[in-house]
Amino acid sequence: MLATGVFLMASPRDAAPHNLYEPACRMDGLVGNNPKSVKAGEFEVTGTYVPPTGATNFSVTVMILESIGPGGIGWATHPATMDATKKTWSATVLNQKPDSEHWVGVRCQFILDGNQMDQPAQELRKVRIK
Amino acid sequence: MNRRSLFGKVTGAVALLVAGRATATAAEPDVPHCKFGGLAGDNPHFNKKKELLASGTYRLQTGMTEPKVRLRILFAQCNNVISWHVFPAVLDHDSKTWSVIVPDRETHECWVGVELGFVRNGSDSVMEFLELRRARVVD
Repeated sequence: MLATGVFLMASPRDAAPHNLYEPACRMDGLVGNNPKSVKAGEFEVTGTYVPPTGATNFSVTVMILESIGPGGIGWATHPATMDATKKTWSATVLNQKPDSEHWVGVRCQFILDGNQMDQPAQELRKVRIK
Repeated sequence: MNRRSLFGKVTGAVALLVAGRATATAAEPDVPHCKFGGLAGDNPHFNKKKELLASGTYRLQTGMTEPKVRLRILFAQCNNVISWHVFPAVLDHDSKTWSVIVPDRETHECWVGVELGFVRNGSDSVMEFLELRRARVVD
């Protein structure tokens, strides 16, 4: 009976709204391996995503740290290609300066309960362009 | 306890020990690292006292000594140059963990990296860090 009570108390937690601090999209694998520059002047990056329950129009954007100024951080953006079946995304970003270094992150956007939600990048990984 | 079951227990114990050693070896390759614990979006974070808290693990490679872990906070300057505020971490040599509490930080967008310094062959070196995490502001 006690166990049932504990179970009933614990159950609502499962139904709690998705924690929006928890990244809904992230890069795969290990830092240093992804993103990766295989060809000169470009890099590739891949990852997975988990849309919050009820989210629609889910999209992933690759964010590249471009500048830092008094107005804050400037980003270059590049849309990712989504695979809705595998819940993966990927992007190939072209026209990068050879031998340059970039900090790369990923941001996801979706509609939840009629509201446009924007989850900024939580992690940046360094990539050196070939 | 008969001889057969005793043999089984001894064999099992030896197998567990061997497996344990193999697992330990496989889990800890001789590769240095220095990284945040937990998930991006959770660690590092600001607490309600506007302190920035970060923690994680480190590992030295054979031949490296005197580990020093430093937190690097990306600092926005007006001339568009990326610069860093550096804060030393406190190390726990037994558990190979590090932690930092940075007091009185502005809680605006803040990106944080962590680097490992060490001595090898008598020279100071630093391992390049490849990851930055956004510090979460706790509401």
